[in-house]
Parts: sequence; C-alpha cells; structure tokens
Amino acid sequence: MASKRAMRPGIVNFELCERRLNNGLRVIVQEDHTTPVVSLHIMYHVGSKHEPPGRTGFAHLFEHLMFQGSEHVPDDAHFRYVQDAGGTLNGSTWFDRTNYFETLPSNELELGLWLESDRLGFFESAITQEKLDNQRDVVKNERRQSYENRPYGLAVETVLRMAYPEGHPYRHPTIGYMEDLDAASLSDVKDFFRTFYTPDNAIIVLVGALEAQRGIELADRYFGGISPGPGAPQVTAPLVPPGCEAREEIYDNVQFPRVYIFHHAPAFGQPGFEAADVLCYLLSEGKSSRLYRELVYEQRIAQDVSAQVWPTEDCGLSFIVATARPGVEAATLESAILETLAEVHHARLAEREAEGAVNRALRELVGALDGVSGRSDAIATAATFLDQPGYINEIFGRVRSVTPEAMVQVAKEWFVPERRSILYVLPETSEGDGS
Amino acid sequence: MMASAGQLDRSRRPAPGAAPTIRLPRFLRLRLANGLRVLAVRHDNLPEVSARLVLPYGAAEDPRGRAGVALLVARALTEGTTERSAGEVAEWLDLLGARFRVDVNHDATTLSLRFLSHVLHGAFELLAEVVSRPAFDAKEVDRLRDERLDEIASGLDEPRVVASLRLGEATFGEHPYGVRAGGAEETVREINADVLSDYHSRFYRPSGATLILVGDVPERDELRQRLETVFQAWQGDPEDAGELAEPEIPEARRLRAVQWSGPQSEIRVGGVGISRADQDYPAVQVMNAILGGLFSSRINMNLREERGWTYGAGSHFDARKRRGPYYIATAVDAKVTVDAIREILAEMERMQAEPPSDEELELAKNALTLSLPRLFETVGQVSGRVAQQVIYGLPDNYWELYPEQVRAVTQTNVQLLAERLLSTRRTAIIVVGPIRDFHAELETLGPLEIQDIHGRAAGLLPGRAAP
Repeated sequence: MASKRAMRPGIVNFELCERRLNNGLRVIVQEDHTTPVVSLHIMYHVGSKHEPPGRTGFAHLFEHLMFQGSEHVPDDAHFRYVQDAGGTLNGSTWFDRTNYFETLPSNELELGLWLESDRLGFFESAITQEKLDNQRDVVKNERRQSYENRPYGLAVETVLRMAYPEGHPYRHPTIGYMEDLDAASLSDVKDFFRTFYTPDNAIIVLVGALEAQRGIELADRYFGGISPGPGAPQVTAPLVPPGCEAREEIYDNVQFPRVYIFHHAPAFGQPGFEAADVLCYLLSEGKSSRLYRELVYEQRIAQDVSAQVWPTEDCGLSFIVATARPGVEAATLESAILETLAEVHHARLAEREAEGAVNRALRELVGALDGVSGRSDAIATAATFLDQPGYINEIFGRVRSVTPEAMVQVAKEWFVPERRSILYVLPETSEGDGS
Repeated sequence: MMASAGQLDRSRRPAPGAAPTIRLPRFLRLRLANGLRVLAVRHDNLPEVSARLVLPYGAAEDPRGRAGVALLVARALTEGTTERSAGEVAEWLDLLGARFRVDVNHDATTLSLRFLSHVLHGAFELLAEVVSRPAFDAKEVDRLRDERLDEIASGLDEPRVVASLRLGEATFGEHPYGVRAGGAEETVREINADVLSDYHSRFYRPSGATLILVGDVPERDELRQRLETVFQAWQGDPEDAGELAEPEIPEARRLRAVQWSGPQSEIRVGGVGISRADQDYPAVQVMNAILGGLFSSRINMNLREERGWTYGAGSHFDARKRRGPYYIATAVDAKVTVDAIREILAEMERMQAEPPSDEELELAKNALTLSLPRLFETVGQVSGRVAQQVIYGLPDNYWELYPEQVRAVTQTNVQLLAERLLSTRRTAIIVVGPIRDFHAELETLGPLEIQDIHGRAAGLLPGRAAP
C-alpha cells in the first residue's frame, strides 16, 4: 500500500471486457468496486453531422424526445424513475454522436437497462405531435437561453460557417437554427429513429460495481431481442484543404471585444491530436502558460485567454479565445496571439515548460476518469470514434510522450495562416455606419 | 450461453437488488504542533489527491465598505511570496501540474489544490508557502484589483448575473449577504495591498484552519512528518471575527425590473431562507425537492414539460451560517414573462395551501437519501462534502444520520415550512428582460421599481446604461 504513491500516472490501467450481441450492439464493461454505483452510458453514432439539409438541430431535438417516455415507460416517468432510485441522468448531442447516461446505485443497474432498452426497442408507439411541439418549444428556449441571450453566444455558429465550406457536415451548430426547428415533423422523427437508433449503431458501456459477465448477460437480456437496423449511413466530415485565412466581424450586446482565432486540427485520437492538446495547455492553462503570461500578466491587454482542441471524429477545430480589457482593441489581441504562436513555430520550447504542460494534461485526464460517469463517456467515445475502447489506457502514454519537438511540429502543420480563421466579436455600440 | 432465465417482463420497472452499503469517508485525524487540524481520507483508486484548506472566515469578515477583500486575499496568495515572485510561483505550480483554485463565500475561504500523487511533497510545500508567506506586493495587488473590476464589469453583460445581483440586494438590503462575496465595483475600487495584508494577518492562522486531504495520501506517520515540516513556520491564532447579525425578513413584496433587449426574461423570485444549523434543514431539502429541486419537481414540470416556456426552472435553498437566500430561477420566452411569474407564485402558494402527495414526498426522500452513494464517489466530491462538514460544524457521522432525518419528515412538516418560508407577500421578484413590452402587465403584481443594470433607479427610456 505504501508503495502505491510511487506509481507514475502512466500505468493507470482499466480492464475492459467486451462482447458484441447478435443484433450488433456492442457492450463494454469495466468493473470498479470502489463505490457502490454504476454508470450506464449508451452512445449512438449519430449527431448533427448526420442531419439532412433544412433540419439543423434535429439530432438534438430528437435527444430531447427520448426522455418523453416509451411503450412501457409513461410520458413523464423517465427522469422520475431515475431520481426516485437516487440516480442522476442526462443526454448530450455532439457533431458525431448522441449519448444518454445515468449513474445509479449499483443495485439499480437493471432499472437503467430497462429504461434504455425500452426507448431503443419501443419508442415509436409513444411519440406524439404534442410531445414534439412541447420539446420544440423547450429547445427553442434552450437556444435563446444558451446562445442568443448570452454574451458572445452566437460566435461559435459564426466560426463554424467560416471554418467549413457550404455543404460540409460540421458547418452548422448542434442546437440548430430556429426555422429548421420549426420545420421538424413527426415523420422526420420516425424516419430518424428508424435510420439511426438501432442496436448496431450503438455502444453500451457499464462502469462500476458490477461483475463484467453479469453486466454482459443483463445487457443481452434487455437489448438482445431488439432487431438490428438496415445499417445506419455513416457520414465522414471531410478534411478542409488549406486555403486563405478567413476573417469576419460580428456585433453583440457586449462591452468588450473578443477575438476567436481558430485552426483546423487533428481529429480525436489521430496523429498529432495529443500534441495539439498538450500545446493548448502550454499556451493557456496555468499562469505560466505562454498566452496567459503574455496577454493577461505582462501586457495586461486581455481579461482572459483560453486554447482548446475539440474532440471531433473527423476534421477537427482548435480555438484560441481572448477577451479584451477596457480600452483595448481586438487587433491588439490578435497580434499578441499571433506573435506568441510565431514564437512556438520558431523557438524551441523549453523542456520544463513542456513537462509542466504534460503534467497538467495528465492531471486533468486522471480527474476526468475518476468518476464512473466520466470514464464510461471516455470509453464510449474511444469505441465510437476510433473503434478502440482501449484508447483510454493508451492515452496516458501518448500524452506523457508528447515532446517539445512534437508540439512545434503540430504548430507548424496546423497552427498556420492557411488553416486559420479569425473572428472579432465587437460591442454593438462600436458598430459603424456600414450595415 | 446467454442467460435467458424467464421471459422478460417489460411492463414494470425491474425490482432493485439489495441496497448497497454507502461508503462514507473514514477520517484520519491529526493536529499539528501549530494547531492546524488535518482530516485525511484514503481513497486510492487513482493516483491523485484533492486537498482543501478551509479557513472559517470569508466575505462576512470583509472590512465595512470593502466587500471583495477576502476574495482578493485568496487570489493574491499565489501572486508572489516572501521567497518567490508571482512568475516563479506560477512556474512552480504549473511544473507540478497542480491546479490551484480559491472559493470564497460569505462563510468561509477554501483553497483547493488538485494534483497527481507523485508530486505530493512539492504540492504540500507550495501550499504551505503561499498560505503562510504571501508577499502582497503592491503592483501585483493593484493588478488583481483591476482584474476583479473587469470581471465585475463583464458580468453585467449577462442578464442572469444582473438578475442574481439585484435579487441579493432586494433580499438582504444592507446586510453583508446583500453584496456577493467578491464585492461590487465601488467596494473593490478602494482595495489595496495593506488591506489584504491586514486581513491575512488577522484570519489566515493555523489554529481554526483545517486541511482536508482525499485520495492517494500517505499513512499517518509519514503524513504527519511531512506536514509538520512544511507548516512549522506558520503560527498564531486568528482574531475574533465578531458576530454576524441574522438578516431581517422583509415585510413587503419587492418587484424590480431591469430593461434588457433580448428574446428571454431572466426571472428570480426569492427571499430569506434558513441557516445551515436550522433543525428543519432536512425538511427544507424535502420541500425544495418537491417545489423545484428536482427535474421532476412541480416548477420544472409546469414551466418546461407542460408549457414549454423555458429550458429549465428550479428552486434553491442556500443555507449559510446565518439565514441564507432561497430563490426560484428561470429564463423564459419574453412573451410569457408575467404568466411565468404568476405560475411560480401559484406553485409557492400551493405548497402552503395543501400537503404534498404521498408520491411526491416519497420521490423527494428517495432522491435525497438513495443518491448518497454517488455523492461520495470522486476525490473532489468527498473533499467537498468534508469541507461542508468542517465549515458548518457537522458531526463526523452526519451523513450516517441524515437518511433517518429525511425519512422522518412528514407532509405536515413540509406544509408548515412552506407557510414559514414561501410567503409570496414578502418575496422579492426580479425581472431582467424586454420590460418595455410588458411593464403595464408586470405592474399588476405590485408596485414596480425600474432599475438599471447596476441597481440604480431608472426609467424605461431606450438606451443601454453606461457601465
């Protein structure tokens, strides 16, 4: 026991037990008896990139409908059953996938399996126009609350329009546009369900205090009888070829300019992804990070600065975002950020600086895998995007082996003008006489 | 091979298995020579540690008219020590890969350090140095103050922040709870290094403080030796903080609105709730779960699932050392603003007029008690729960006894509590939204005060107030 602390983070290892059911549903179990809870996570390989034209936001609206009851689960009972058992639950929609998850006391695993299998196997008979209309209103209010009525809330959808060309599957936001939400019909709901919500297009992950073999048997008991689908069409969002640097300005009800500098980036788990991720820590996580030190501490031109890479299945995107201090122009922030990037391109990074960035990335990684819910999400994502659930064990080694040279290389390949777009969000009060 | 024991009956919810035993933290207790208390919980499934140093002083101890001092003291700790510059502390922390966060509320200051256990020794040294020997260099403090002023100004771009600030004032008036921890523009502006240094020397003392360590921590002897070594230079007793008065409960309804052009209205309805020591705390949790604490609660089911007016609506009781706020919060389609307020008031009145149903009571109790296993899962959750026990003086076996206390709550308890706490006559109502479109209708709810985003009296004329 006492020697445990000598353990380096590189040897964290989660044993995974896997089985594909006859209907194609993939079941993965990771036993962890530390706490008497279990996480049940089901990930469908469908997201906003699969939406047909004119139906932006549909995958997310559909996610809401999955909480409105199924044949054996009354309309408003899904949340109630889980909370009555002491559990917690939610769902989320991303470009490439939709997930549903609950964390339950370990003696209620079957409740989760019953609820999830019922809405996969017995959904259609329960859906009504009334439920669609109600959740459409809820989602429109979600769009108002989280995007339209939030400072800088419409920046990301502008970024997507700039970064991805017309017709590209990543060009629109998961929340969708109001007019497309209005257009969604009950037959769209049924078509979408039949096409994408099939056992062979899903992965179920169980993490926590259960025996692996029993988890697989129970998954088969609840899901095994559900028929496979015709094969969900897969969509690959193509890599955007390098081009000209794009720039745009938009106006918002805010006091301070904010600058978004974004670059296409390696997709989740692809070569260079971890280096880009660690580079983001080196640039903006911690007060010694390059952008923080330069923009916030030394020059005092920014209130905040952050850098991140999005974990997408295909053609990725990284963001550097900084908000101006009072009286500072957006252009000042932009040049300070680009100068910092140029230093990364040209200078060798110090060993200690890189070591710190790796250590911070590892700390966040361990923290994210601490709970059963975060761990099941990570396993499901690795299985869905990479067909490689064991990636959650490999990633420690991959992050640890990111060198200064690897970060310089990823910066030279990806953080370059040909892959860059720049958006300014400016205060409306500064809007000039143009329209 | 696969189990097919019997036909699966989907028509009813599967019966739960035998209830598992909750794993509650088992404390290792130490008291260092300088008086610092240590609570360690071994929780070693992953090689990480969550450390929280809890000081039982916070924004309530801010000097009069200088709200924000406690927050800036905590933020200044890592901006230079007697041995190291701000840049050197930052490099040290970042090389360790540790994450340092401060949480300052009215009741306490919590300094959190999260790190992988192989850097434990360095993390302890760093924590001891920044807590006991901060430099409070004037240049760094002035910068932190300016950053806080920027942060306050930026908050006014968010209608939800404006609504919460205005609710605090409407609820607590001149009581310290009426200004958020972290202060307001006029109270932060005058803060300087001397003020911070003074607060630090009065309240940042080892006796009275508690260090909570959860995760892959060393055994008792090694732990004691390490901590004694790094903390030995930190000495002394804190000053007497004085008694914070109980907030007065307002007599009349206050209705305040801020003009904000946008597609939604932020709504807050609230008042003075309970203290953490109130013997009705468990019953209030039950009542809150029924009213708006759960997804399946009355307010959310009404405003979201029946009417589709909002993405979500909920109620909250923030129990503090003194009677803290309760509030109902939502953001609704601006067109239904006044209808939504009426529904919220009606739900508050229904809680008082009739007892909850058996099903509602049972759901609330189950949600509060059966959730305990998952609330003690990660190192961060455990150290956070232990910190609450330390701040509010809850006994070690608090969570063992809590389920019984919740189970004992009756329908009558809930109804009587609602009468005591949820008076719609004495409540404050705040709206931040396009009130020009519906101010006449709003006035049917009571005398309406129009404010600007800063809380100053204003009219309904177009134009955004200057920050």
